[in-house]
Amino acid sequence: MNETHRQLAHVAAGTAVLVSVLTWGGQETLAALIALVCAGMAFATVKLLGFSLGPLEKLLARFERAKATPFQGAITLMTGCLFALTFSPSIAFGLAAIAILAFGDGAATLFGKGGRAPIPWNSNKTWRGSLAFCAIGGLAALPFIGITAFGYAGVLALIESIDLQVDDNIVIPVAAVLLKLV
Amino acid sequence: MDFSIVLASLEHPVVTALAAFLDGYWAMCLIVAFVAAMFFTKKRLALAIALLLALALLPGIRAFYDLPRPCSSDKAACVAEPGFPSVHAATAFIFVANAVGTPLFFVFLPLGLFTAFSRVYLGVHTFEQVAGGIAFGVILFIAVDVVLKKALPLLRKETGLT
Repeated sequence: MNETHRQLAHVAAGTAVLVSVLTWGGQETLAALIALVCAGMAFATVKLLGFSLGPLEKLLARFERAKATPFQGAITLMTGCLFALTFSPSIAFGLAAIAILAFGDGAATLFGKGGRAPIPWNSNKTWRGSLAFCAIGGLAALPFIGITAFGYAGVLALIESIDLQVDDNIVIPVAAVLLKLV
Repeated sequence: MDFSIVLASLEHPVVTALAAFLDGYWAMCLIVAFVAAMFFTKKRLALAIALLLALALLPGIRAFYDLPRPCSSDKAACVAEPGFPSVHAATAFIFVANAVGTPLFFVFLPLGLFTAFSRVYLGVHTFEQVAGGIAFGVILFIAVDVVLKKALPLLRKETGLT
């Protein structure tokens, strides 16, 4: 598995969700996300039951982490996007949360790997990665919610740096919605 | 195209009968599904806790969002209470998420999807309310499963229970 390719796929998938909402519309995107979540869970089940996924095996080897449940990343990303779009008080905020998830979380991994100063409360993460999350996530969300995007991205970068053990694809949208509502 | 209106305008006697059955006997369906899951899935404690948490949290979440039901069809009685997120969809997809990796998944997935569809078909929920329920159910189960994976070994160590 190539981590850079995985993160680029993460960014691409999140971008696809954003483009889908902006071009096709909210309900069509929700339907597609539900279909993808169900398909992901179905493929994961087939794999866990010991069957081969045929051409999808190469995809799995390229993009999925070895110890993870098959398609876990894709399932949680699509579910996180579904949550962001349905629970956010406005479509604009939902899109901002997805933009931060796609670009901020992707940037944190891509840039964080080269960082040398680990975060005190989580030695697996670096300040460079968290700053990249905040800056790039904020820029990506800027068109949807304006300058407050950087504030949300900053707090979400802090939350993302904590080792909560739950997938970031779920933590970030849930935390974003809670931040907005509180 | 508004999916909520399109799906609620559909009419088929068999589909209506099945949807009405789920609507009227949902508690019984949950019990039957729970018993099946106890026999055929492995993450039983996570399932039980996720269901209890869903039933505890959803009324408060619904009251907070306070989004009305569409009540757009006369196929079922529409209760005048908030509709987001759909409890039926959320609990159905807790079962679906729990069944991932087992053969029971291929029973629960179509049942879960039909449950979600039936709520919009009966006109008692909008498409968005059902989609929110699905997201909530899957996320809740995943979160409970992860917490238990970390907590159970610690509990066993502390108590000496295996």
